[in-house]
Amino acid sequence: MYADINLAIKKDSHALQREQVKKIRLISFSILFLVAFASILIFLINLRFSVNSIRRDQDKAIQKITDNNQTAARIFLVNSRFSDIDFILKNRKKNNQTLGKIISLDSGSTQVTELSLAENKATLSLFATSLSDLNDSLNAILSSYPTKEVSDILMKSLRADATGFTVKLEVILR
Amino acid sequence: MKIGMNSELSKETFIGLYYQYKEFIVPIAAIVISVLLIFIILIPQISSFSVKKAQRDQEMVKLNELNKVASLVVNANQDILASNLSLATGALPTDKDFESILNTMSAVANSSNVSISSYQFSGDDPGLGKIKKIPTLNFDLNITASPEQGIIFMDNLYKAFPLSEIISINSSSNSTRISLSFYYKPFQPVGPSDEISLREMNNVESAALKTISEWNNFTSPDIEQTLPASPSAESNGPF
Repeated sequence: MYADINLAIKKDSHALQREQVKKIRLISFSILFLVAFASILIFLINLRFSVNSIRRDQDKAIQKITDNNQTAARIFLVNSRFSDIDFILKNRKKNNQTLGKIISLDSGSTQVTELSLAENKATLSLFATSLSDLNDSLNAILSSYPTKEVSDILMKSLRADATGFTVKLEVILR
Repeated sequence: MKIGMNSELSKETFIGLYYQYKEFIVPIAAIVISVLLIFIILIPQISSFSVKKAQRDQEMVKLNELNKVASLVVNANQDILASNLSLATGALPTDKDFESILNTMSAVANSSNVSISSYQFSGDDPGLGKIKKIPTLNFDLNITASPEQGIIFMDNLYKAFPLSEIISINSSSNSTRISLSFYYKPFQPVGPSDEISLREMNNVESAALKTISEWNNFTSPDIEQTLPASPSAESNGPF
């Protein structure tokens, strides 16, 4: 009777061991499969993100630009020249505009008899037959300044003769 | 005798152990291979992934720029490009273009109803104008004009090609003396190591194009003649 019992236990122990081996085999192969799969996957991702393929595409783009080098040179020249033109337009002295504005402010009955411009100073002489006209022009000019182009306007002299009145103004430009 | 017994025992033990655990050999080998794969392939690949991605992103930015430039160059309208270049070199000549300067002065005098009584070339000193880095040709000009007409002449000259700048003016009764500079700029030679940027015209450049397009163009240089034959070509101006 005991022997039968022992045999049953032995049989169960063998079955248990086989079961364990089966489990371990399943787990180990699963791990191996997962690791192999992950390795292949990461290898493929790295291959996909390889810079070599991008560099090949860069070479193709550079070749396209090189094939059209005349056009590329023209584009570069046009852009740089317009950039220089813009620089000149913004930076050259625009004293003609400033002087034009001052002259346009006179009352109409005054006349610019002398005009000189050098460095940052302009001198102009206004002539009018009546002192009242001259006064109107001066008021119009002086009330419009200072501006960002003109820092100061100085009245240098006022002369009267038989024909009329002449005022000499000095315009200090910024 | 004792050693021989021991070795026999060990051999038997080893064979016994082998038969007892032979079922485990393959799973253990699989686990060992997995561990080796993790350390030899997986970890290095994962750790280098971020570096490679950063490298790739950097190269992608370059590629996108190059593709943009290639597309710009391939799809550029040759007629518009030639016209813009002609306009730009008219406004800012590539050499000392006396012919266009004299034509311009004469045409501006006509349109301003003044007459040029004399003119004199006073050198090519770039220090006269406000902008020192761009060379100029300087002229002294005597015109028969009142101060108001002199200003109209200056206004018209500022809206004509080539670009100019009034240095000084001296006007009384019917005579006006003007010192002015005309800008010119030779094409800069570009060496193989120089970096240049090819791009669409930016807002500033487009605005300059728009401004000068509205001006009087008294000169119309042949653009193919103004283009240098090679980057090392010298300016073929009159001097």
